[in-house]
Amino acid sequence: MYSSIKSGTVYGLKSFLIDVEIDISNGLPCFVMVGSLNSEVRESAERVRVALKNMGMNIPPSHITVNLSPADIRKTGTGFDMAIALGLLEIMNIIPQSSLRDTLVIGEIGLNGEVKRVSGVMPIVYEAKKNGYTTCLIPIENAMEASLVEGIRIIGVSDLKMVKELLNGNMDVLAEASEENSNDPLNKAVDITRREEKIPDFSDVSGQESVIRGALIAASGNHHMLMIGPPGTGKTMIAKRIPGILPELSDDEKLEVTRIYSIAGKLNIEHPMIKNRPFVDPHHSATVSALSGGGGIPRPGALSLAHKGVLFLDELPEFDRNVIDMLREPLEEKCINISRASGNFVYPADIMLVAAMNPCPCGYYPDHNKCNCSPGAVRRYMGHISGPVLERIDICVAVRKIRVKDLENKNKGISSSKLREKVLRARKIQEERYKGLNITCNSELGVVDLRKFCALGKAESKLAEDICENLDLSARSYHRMLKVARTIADLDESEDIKERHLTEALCYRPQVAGL
Amino acid sequence: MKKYKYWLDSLPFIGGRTAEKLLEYFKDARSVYEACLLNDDDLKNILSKRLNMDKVTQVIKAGADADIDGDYDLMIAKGIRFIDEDDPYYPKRLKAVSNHPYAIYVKGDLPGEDEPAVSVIGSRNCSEYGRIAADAFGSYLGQSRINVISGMAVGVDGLSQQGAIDGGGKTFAVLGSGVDICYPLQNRSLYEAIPQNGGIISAFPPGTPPSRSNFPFRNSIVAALCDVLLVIEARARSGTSITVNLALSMNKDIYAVPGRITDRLSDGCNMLIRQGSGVALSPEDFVSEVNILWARRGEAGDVIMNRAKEQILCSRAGCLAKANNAPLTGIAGYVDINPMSAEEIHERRLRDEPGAVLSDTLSRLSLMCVKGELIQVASGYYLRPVKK
Repeated sequence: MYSSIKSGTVYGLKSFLIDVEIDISNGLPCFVMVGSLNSEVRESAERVRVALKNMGMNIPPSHITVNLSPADIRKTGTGFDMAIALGLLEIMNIIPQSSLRDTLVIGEIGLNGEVKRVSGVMPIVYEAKKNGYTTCLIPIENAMEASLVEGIRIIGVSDLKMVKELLNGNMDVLAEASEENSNDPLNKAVDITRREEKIPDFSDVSGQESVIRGALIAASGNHHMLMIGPPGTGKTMIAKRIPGILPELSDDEKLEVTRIYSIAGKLNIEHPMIKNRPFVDPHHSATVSALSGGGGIPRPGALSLAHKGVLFLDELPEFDRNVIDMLREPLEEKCINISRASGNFVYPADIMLVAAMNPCPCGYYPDHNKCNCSPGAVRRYMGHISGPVLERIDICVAVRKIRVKDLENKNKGISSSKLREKVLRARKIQEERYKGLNITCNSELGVVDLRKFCALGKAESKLAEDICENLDLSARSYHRMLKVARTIADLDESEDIKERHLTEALCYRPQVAGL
Repeated sequence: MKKYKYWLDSLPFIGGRTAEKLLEYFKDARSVYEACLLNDDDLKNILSKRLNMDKVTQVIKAGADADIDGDYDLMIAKGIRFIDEDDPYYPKRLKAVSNHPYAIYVKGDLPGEDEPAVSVIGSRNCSEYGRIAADAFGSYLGQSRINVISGMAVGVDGLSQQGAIDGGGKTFAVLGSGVDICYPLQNRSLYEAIPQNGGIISAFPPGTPPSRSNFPFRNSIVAALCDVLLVIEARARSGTSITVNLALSMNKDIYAVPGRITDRLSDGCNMLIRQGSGVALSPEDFVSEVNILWARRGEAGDVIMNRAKEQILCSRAGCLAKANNAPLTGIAGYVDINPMSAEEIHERRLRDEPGAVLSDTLSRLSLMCVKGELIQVASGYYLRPVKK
């Protein structure tokens, strides 16, 4: 006797629909599971058996085989429990045959028959919808998340008994069980996210005008930014406020980010939709895997969780050299390649990098009254950050010590909404300029497009020549500086890049101290 | 005979005192060598008083295995001269010190006995002020044909020596390593220029790597070889102050270049002045005083100082003071010679131009850097260089 139930899994960041095939045959009683399974999947057998017994439905003492197909995709997670249980129930005629046609089933089962939440529901439901399924049977705790996918019926359940009644046509339970499938999940998102954590405002920051200017330019052109200054000067504070001046996520971007968080299991049950730009700040003890994605089948790392948002690396020189070096690819390509024995994965990493560091081990360079570090020590400290990574950071600002009179100043600083206005205006100019091209921001300009969109006038070209010669800039540094100049000109609403835009862009180029 | 003396000096674990004792007993270096070959018991006795048995065996083995002729010829081929204390060329100034090295190694020349010599020392981590002063003093000393002696270290040492060469004079570097090793690497070009414009000196055999324990001895040689010691920038407690004490114990005249009382890097110098050292207010002043001291060497100490003080007219504007009075245009006027943050500079500008915008200040500062009028020392920090 055979039955097949549709379920799904996530592999890397891709979702797959999986056939859960159950067969009961004559033979010595056993429960065999096959199909390239991780250990937690194999354990399903125990959970399902005990859960069914506790609900008064004993599994027949026969040779039971469960196959999860396609058998060559590695199966992980506990989401197959419910499909296996229902498959058995179908064979045992406890639920009607083909009551689960065109239905996707996901959920973990507790020993008492309870249906528990799993991660990655949203992308699996999306995959189901794409493949023409009409209904999804999922744990009730995942219902809100699944309802973000339009055009498919979501039924959230809390235990197997409920499922049995439901599938046997008990209409009352149906009414209780199903979640409203809103036609506009994104509007629902707006309701939800009003209760979401508010991004702090720039008006809380006293002084630090030049840092805020740097953040404004970085946000406008999506340039990467580094803040250098002694401890306790507000670097983390400012970094946390940057997502608040970036443009809001588009609807597509919201879904994209929510997918990633769903797979990572980090969605809030009641308010699953991610509305704000993500802000991720890993501790400096983080490993390469923690940032890029780790595990036998890589779960999204910090870089992917910060996709479309800000990745904040505080105390940059304290990070392992390998970690900093690894940033090279995502900073340039906006994605990260991870190789594993189980396959190659490409994860999105379109981030804005914001980093903070001290200028030297004691933190007070270049104040030689406070700083006792030898030039060698300063150089070595800065040298922790590999040259190629430093060159990809376009905006480097110094954060000064706060003076008491700045803190006491009753006037609030410039507000995030004002800053965001400027950012949006600059972004709009970029959108127009790059219409039809594959890029959206100045920071993404390639060398060829650079020549077209950042052409300089005669006087400005001469200045650029002087800059390159006198300050010994590499070609890459020069191009990046031009991109920043383009952003500054956009903020200034000037079509041409003028001398003052070039020179301001120059002052943000990162410099190795001591040289 | 020299070859045996070189051999003795090159023995591992053997320092000046031990060598002295060995020479006392065996009378000359050659006899020590022969005793070593014979694994002589007296030799072993003397050594074991200062080293453990393990090291004694090592020393005797190393000594016996050495290629007397080969090693010496190799050194000569590298252009290194071996000058032991009995050599007529051994500097008299050095011989006068009780703890002088048994031998020195030289690449190039030695400072002449009849030429005035000034040792210039100061912080490795000097400020822009220190940098300019080291260069200015070094250069003028060079022009005035006064030998500049120092340790070729990063910072004041190296800069004053390079200044001396630029000024057309001679400079001598005393190293904490063998003369064939360039340390620090940053001063490679200086290391290569010095033998033609003076000489490189060391108390350590060729091949000795620079180790921390060598530097105190090297500093004492720097102090010994001079007639006057000039301190340019030093913190209150620093390696520089240790060298000053050594020089004082050798009765050398000490001069210091004063600095701002708000500057920790000038604490050492200012304190020396307070304790009665000479003050070097400009290269020209300083050189006149050195010349007077030199002319009157041999006369009693206080007589020299008093006459020197009588003859000096203070506050004659030297080249440094002149440079600081030059009129400053535009934003440069708000920038100090100590590093200042861009925001501070902008604040100063706001006092005169209340409507000024920060991005404009940043642009102008940047432009001045391109033109060389300002220097950006670290992201967001600028300083105004003092013109030569």
